[in-house]
Amino acid sequence: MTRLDFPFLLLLLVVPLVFALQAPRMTSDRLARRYGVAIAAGSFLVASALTILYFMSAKHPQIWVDPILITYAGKLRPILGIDALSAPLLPLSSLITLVVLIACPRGDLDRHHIGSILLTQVMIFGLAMAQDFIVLVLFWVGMLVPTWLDARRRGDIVLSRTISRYQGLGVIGLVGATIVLALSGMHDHLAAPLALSELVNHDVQADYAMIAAACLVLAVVARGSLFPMQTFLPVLFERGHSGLAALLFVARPASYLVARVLLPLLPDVGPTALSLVADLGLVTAIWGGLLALSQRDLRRFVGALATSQSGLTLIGLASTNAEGLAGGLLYWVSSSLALSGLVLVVTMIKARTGTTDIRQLGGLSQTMPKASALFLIVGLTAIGLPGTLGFIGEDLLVHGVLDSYPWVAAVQLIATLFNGIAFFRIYTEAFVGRTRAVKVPAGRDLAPRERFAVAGLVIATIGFGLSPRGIVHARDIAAEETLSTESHHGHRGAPNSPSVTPPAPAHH
Amino acid sequence: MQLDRIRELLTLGVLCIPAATFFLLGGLALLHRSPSEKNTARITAFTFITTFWLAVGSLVFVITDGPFELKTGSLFQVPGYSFEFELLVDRLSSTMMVLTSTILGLVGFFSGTYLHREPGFDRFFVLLSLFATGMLLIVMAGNIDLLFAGWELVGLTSVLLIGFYRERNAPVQRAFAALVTYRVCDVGLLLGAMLLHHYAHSASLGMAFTTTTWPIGAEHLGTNAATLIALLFVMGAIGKGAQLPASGWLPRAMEGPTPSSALFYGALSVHAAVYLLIRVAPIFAEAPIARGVLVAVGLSTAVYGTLTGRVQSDVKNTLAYATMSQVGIMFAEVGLGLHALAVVHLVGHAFVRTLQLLRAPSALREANAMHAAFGGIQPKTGAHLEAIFPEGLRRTIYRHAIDGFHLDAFVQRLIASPVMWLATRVDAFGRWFHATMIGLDTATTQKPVDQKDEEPHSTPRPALGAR
Repeated sequence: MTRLDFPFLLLLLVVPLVFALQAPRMTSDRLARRYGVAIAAGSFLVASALTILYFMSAKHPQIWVDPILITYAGKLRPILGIDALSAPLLPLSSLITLVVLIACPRGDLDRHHIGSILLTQVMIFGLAMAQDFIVLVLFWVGMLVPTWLDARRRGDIVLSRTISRYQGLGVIGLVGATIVLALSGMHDHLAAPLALSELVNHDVQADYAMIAAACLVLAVVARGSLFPMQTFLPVLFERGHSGLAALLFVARPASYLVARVLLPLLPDVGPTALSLVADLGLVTAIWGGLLALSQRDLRRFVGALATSQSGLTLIGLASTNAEGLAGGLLYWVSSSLALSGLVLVVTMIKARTGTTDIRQLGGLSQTMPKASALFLIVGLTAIGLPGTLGFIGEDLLVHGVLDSYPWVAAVQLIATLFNGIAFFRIYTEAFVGRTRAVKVPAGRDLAPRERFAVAGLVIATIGFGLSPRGIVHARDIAAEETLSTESHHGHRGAPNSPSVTPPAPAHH
Repeated sequence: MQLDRIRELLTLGVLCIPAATFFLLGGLALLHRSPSEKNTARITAFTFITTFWLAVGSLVFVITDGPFELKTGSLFQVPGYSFEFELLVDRLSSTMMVLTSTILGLVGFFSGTYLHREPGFDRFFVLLSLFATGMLLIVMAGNIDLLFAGWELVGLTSVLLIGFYRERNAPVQRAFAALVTYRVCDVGLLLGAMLLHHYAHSASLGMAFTTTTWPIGAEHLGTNAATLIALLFVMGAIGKGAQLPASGWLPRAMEGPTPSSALFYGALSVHAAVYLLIRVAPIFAEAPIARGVLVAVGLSTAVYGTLTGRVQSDVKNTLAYATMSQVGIMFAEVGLGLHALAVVHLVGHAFVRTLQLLRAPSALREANAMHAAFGGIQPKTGAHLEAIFPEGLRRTIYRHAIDGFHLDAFVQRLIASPVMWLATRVDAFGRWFHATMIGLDTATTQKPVDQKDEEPHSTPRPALGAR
């Protein structure tokens, strides 16, 4: 572990949190938006700098922890830190926050939404930085609160109930796992049974591990929108605020739970649980693809695509080899960038046409050529066009999964096939051909602010797609670290090994 | 040493110049700063003329110095897998490079005039340069992974050009049908490439026309693995080469502008399938069953294309079926191991068909001119092969040929309709499950949160792969 000189991580949480709580009390939406963009841009720059410096440092694996420590079980312990797995999540989620705040149509972005979006970003940061299982659980649960409150505020009983019922199961699973891991740690007289650094060095007994894994799989199924809970993401994208939906999709707390906890901490029962996750991921990926094929609503279509791609990501993470894991992590990044762009373009279209129903749209390329071109390009990056990050992610993913689960690899291609066909069907119906019921007046195409913000996501996807070495290397480091933790589990030191080394030299 | 460097630059230039043109024209189009028609045509002419001469240079090097592999390192790598950027310039690929750049240049030059003042003029040339990049990537790829990347780019540009006249419904729906066929068959190629990695731990093409087999000698794969991989490659080739049972998209693809029809469906795109099969020929040497399938598919398509093409009333459709038929024969030639013949057939057919398709828009005028030249009396074209069939059988064949032997309806009923049926059931079940989970009825859960006015207009649900 390396202690940072300055509490950058704490600041990345506190500054947006303070603003998020203040935003609803601001005098105007415009003011809130300006401050929101400034804070999101600042977060993105700091998070990017930290992540780049982290991966440029020669020593891996390592964890950079915040200098603010708490006394826990008689020792100073970190509560916030980043490693190869979590570091890229910070710039990724803050980039999406920034793009959402810049590009989201003004009518869809009042001060309450801005507060909710920044609060969700804080929760994602917290989840990624958490060095203690309790902290992780708190941020995990808290991430959905802004969206739930937003649904309640708008009187959307369907969305609020969906979040509370579906995610209630997820919370039950995660809290159950927490209790079991705590009991296991107490049984083995661990000083801090829920500190991740101690859990990594602790062999959970078989009985406890089995129950903990079952609870974690329940949480993963509920939060990852896996079969049979696969209807969560389509509903979230269809009814939720587009910015919040995009951020929640970027965070992928279920995928994070698999990579952070299930894979490295429970190696004995991991293979069984991961095999189950891979199977459910496969069913979900195909289900999502089929769902996307039959959609008539653009937002629900993006939700169906998100479901399918969430399933594909989990298949990669569950593949237990470096290629598959790196592919899954890369696919996570590429699908996040692409689908966030896609849902934003859909929101922009809705702001102008008043509908996202493709039976009313049609021929939009004649009246909104810029929106049409952007939708096509973003969509092509989402379905893995060569030269984009999606292609690299898919390629690695399939190769990796082929080694672990050959049949799953073969069948998952059907999901990608459905996704591609579904995208072109939607594009064909809504954007080309004759215009239908909705006529868009001339001059109502996308504004430069909207175009350039989403184009930023496209440039990132294509840039990483044409020159992927850096990002693949970064994700490979994360994959190697995760796998090495798993393979060395049980061969490491005593249960009560110290979780924090004395403050390391300052990092510059 | 100096010559090697020149050769590397020539090879990279062939690929990079069209790619640079794509990024230039595409970037300007996105910024709404497209150059004038004249300048677009000039940029394109410069691109393809340069590419042609660089390709000729590569061919000369191959003749004088033999084949050449250019490895610029891996695009990315993780332990156990790396995606190599390697280009292979041998007699086959350099011939294809010259063929590709020649036809691209001719079609580009023709299009500058043909598409004058068309609303999508700049879009056409952006897609043309992307197609050039994809096609050259296919013919120069040193491994299957890179070939697949080019394959996808060619498929995408093909689809976007079929739907070039996007204000009308028919071209758009036909483009979608082509896309569905491509995507389904591309799964075969992708899976084949994956399995090749899995079994051979490499997907490098090596020197298919030399004594060296690839990746580590196809014989090391074993008959079962080689047969499986070869069949998957055949599946990929069937889609792009418009062979049975996936041939229905080719006549419909003629909805695109004539230059793109000539380029894609007369000259280059359909022949990419034949090129793929010739490239992976060493695998077929170990897979007699796959060879048999290849010959059967090719010959049956040739017969189908001939019979159906003869009853077409549209010149472009007739040419489409004729192309399908010739590509079928090429498939059979590859299946029979006649690779050199297939290459000669491919090159000759590409040039002839391009010429015919480019002249197709003036076919009626030429027919009238010929009619006038003969003084109103057309000479008989001679007895056709079908004259050997009895009259009743001829009528039956004619009737079925008019309907394309019901192939589209068959594919629609057997594949597309069940998939769409399943998709709608999946959606309905998902909605019911969700409503049950949250304790509301499905009508409430389907009510849009912010759209409470009238019901949207009802239009029929689009069928997968429908005309």
